[in-house]
Amino acid sequence: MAPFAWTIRGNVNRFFVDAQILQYLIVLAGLFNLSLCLYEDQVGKFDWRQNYVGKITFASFDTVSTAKKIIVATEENVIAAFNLKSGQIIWRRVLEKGGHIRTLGGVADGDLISVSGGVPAIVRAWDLATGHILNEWPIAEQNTDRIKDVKWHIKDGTLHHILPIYNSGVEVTSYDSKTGEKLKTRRVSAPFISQETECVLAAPYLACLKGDSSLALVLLVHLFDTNAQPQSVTINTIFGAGAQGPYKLESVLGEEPVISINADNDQRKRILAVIGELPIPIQRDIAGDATLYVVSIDNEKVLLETTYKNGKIEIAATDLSSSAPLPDLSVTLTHTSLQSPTIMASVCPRQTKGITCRHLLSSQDHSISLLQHNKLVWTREEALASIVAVEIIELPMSDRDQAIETEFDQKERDVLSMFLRRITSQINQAKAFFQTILDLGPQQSNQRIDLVRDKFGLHKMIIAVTSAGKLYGIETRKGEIIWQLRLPNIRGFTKLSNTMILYVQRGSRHFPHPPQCALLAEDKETGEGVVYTFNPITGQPLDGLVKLGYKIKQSMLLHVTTDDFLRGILILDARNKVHVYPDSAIAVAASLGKSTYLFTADQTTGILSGFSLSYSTTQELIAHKVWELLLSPRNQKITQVVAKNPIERVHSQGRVLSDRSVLYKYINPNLVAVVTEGIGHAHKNTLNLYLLDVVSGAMIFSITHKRVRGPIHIVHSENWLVYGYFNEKGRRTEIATLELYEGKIQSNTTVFSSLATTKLPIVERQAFIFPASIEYMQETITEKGITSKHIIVALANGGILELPWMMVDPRRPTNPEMREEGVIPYMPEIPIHMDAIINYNQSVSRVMGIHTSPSGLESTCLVFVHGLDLFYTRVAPSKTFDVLKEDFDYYLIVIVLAALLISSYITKKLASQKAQKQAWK
Amino acid sequence: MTMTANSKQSSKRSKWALDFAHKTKQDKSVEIPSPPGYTPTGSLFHNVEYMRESDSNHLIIKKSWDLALGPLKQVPMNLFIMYMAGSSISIFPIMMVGMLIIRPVKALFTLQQTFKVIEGTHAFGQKFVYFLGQLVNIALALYKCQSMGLLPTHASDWLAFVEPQTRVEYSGGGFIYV
Repeated sequence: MAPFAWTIRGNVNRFFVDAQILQYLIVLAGLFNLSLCLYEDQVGKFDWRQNYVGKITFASFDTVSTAKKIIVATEENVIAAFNLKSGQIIWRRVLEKGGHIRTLGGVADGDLISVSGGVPAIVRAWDLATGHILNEWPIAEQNTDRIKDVKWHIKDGTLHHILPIYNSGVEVTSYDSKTGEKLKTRRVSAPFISQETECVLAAPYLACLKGDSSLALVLLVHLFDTNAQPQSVTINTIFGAGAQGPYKLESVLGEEPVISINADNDQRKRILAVIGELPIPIQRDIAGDATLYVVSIDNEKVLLETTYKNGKIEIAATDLSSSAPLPDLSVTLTHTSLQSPTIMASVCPRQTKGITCRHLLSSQDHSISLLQHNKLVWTREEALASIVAVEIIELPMSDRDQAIETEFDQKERDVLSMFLRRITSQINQAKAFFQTILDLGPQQSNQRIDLVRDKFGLHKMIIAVTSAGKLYGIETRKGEIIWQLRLPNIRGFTKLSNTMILYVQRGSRHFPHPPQCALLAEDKETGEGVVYTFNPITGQPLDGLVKLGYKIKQSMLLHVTTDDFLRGILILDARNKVHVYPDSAIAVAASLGKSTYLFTADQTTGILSGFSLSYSTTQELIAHKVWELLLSPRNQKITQVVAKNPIERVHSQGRVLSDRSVLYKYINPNLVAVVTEGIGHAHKNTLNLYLLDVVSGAMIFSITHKRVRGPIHIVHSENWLVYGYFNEKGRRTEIATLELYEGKIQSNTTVFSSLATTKLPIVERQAFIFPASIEYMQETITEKGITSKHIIVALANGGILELPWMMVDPRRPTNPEMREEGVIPYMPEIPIHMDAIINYNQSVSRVMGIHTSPSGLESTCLVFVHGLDLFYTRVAPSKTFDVLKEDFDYYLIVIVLAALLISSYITKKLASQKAQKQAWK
Repeated sequence: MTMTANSKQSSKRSKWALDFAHKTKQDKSVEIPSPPGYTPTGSLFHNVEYMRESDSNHLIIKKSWDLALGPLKQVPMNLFIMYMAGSSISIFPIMMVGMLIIRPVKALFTLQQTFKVIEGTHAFGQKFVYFLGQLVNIALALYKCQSMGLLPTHASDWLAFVEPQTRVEYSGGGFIYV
């Protein structure tokens, strides 16, 4: 009996334990339900990723390994290997952020050595085949202030650190490149080197230019021979008489010690080659804009001059010493994706058919191409690694839909004309149908057939503006580049870290008007503003490049369109004068003057100013300063100004509390978050966050975080604000949230006016520990704002996390007794679930920005992540509540319905028969 | 004819009385008095008819009052059902509350039909009481709904219909470009 009782008790105990585990499991399952994950067969179905490396700085052909490849180092601090045939990345290593690769070498010897950074310089030895790091060692710099004068040279497994010392000589320190062992230090005497001397490395020589008149000297110092005397060549012997300064010395790329000297304001240049031991000037003028490369073919040195004129690339090959042209090796090519290219690396191996040259070209638009014997083998659009502005635009309707649209678009409404129009359009449709059947119809439009709006508005066009001044149109289904165009002579706004401003002036919904985008940038030469308008779907220019003739201080898009559905751009110039682009929108802008406000934030002075346009007349727009605020107390610097997304819509105006009353949201569309960072009283890093109404200039809220440091990432949406920072005290990343509420009564239920509202909102706030480092944050956005909001967080480890806003809700109760419906109790740490990483194993590096755009479906939001890599996907924060699941069984439901219908008819018949029989009994 | 006359006569007499006085030969053969307790059917009929004639008005009133007070008599029962149903939102309580609400409403709609047979001086009053009773039932049901939180009486219930505020001022700007 006793053991039996014991087993019962044991069972009961186990039951309780099991029940507890079950509870935990339920809670865990509940957490997982918040996130959305992907099945294995959905990989790559809604998303795509593209890898880039950036603009290349060093390149070399790996002809030693069995698998031929190209090794490149780029401005983005990336080392990568490309497949020679396809241009695909074989491996890519993203090095530390903000570093620079100083030199890359040793590929010819079968190993790869890179030197990056400054103090201390880090030398890395790489495995060529796999890209694995073999060894890494630092070089402590002696003269840290002269870091930019240091030159590096890698030869035969030895790394040379070359530092010119003023008025004395050149110090050459050699290291074993694999182990980091210091081999020897030499000092070559070169007393002529001073601070003004311009020196370039043309290994094994250091070439220096002394003086800039006609008496200037080019001095060559042999670096590895301490006994050799510096050799000098006068400018006159190179150019002959009559050359004008200033001269510019450049080392010619390639393995040979050749330098080029520019003269006559870069109009022409000549080269100085060291053949044998003697410097020999080549008495031939080369165009000043030509780029040079020296390649050796069977011990013959060949000079390649690359020139670019009117879209034509010419690579002229000449024998270096004799200047005899070599027409077999010269190339003439016309290609749209090559724009003023430079040969970065070149090999000309002798094969059975003869000499085939391969040139790796880097264009001014950052693209990389491989040229093989007059043929462009591949091109990589590396400009996409530095996107500065993005918009996602709806595609236009198909031709047929457009025809229907035009048919019903007419104003007159009498029966006869409508009937006539109906007939004509049907005749046209029939004609088009027969034409397509007989295959003789003309191509109706120049755009591709598949580039039309789909049913759910999921297929869109990404417009990407890159820092190279190149614009791309990328369709979202596969990530294919539809169009690209380059705007020479423009650059980003220097004060805005080279970003450009992209506005969508007209969407795709206003057929027959074409969609229109406008790009605001700076002229490269004058620094004055330029506007470039184009059709975002086809990439065709509309008004072309318009030079404004003044500097742009600030701009905004008007919220009201003109009669042809075009939204004007309001531009404030450097003298606080207001302009409108295009001119046809002036009337609209003037009529809106009373309700339009503009604000500027000056990072250097820390002054924020608000301008009102209410003094404008119909002829002239006047910006009148209405408020000013100095926001830089004690070494603080404004680092962020974040406004809300202007297309955002908020569906729910309040929040339901547990007692079923409503807490109304404070949704101020003119609210802007301003962050200042700097040193506080006690010399600790502090961060101030201000919420400012930019119409009235009223300070709504401010908060100070002490011992906190950036980088700050802010998301400002609806009535809340989420920002991430690094807490120095806790040594962790934290996310803080603010939420603004008007209270239990709405002061004005119909309109919101910043000038009429005087009551300050109730602010709820909370902070959470975030167990990862944040690169960028952005909120999801949907068309009507019904779907709940998620925050897309780019993590430093390459993941893109979809974090439900519910997790960072500041009203998460710390006291578990005070539960509200749908609010999770407070936990200090936000868990990162792997299911919520929307890019699963497709890591993205160096995220610079995330752009979210609503789709035609209310549930779905399109996400485009850009940085070194591009990643596009779609997310459904509240699950896809408005579409049937993909695996929905249509057949089953049809069969069941049909069976039910048929059976109901049959039973009806049977029942009536039975009733009849019963009646006769 | 005689039968009817006799029966009329006998009905006039006391029911339990035996008359031994009138004994004639004709009578013997013809008319033997019924045994005690026997009442011919006709006489019973006559009796009820008589009663109805005398009490009909009273009865009608009584009956119709019964009908009119029915709903009020249901109130304790309904209270008990409400108590038993509990306040959780699940299928049975909801069904019960639904019945509680639907029945009186239905009854109110069929009020004229229910009182069709009843005529009399009290008709209006009865109707009114009946109506009042049903109203009490409805009120009880509504109270139940309220206590269950099914009535949209809070501001939060109308939140979905609150229109977003339209903005008066439009603003733009940010860091200066130059």
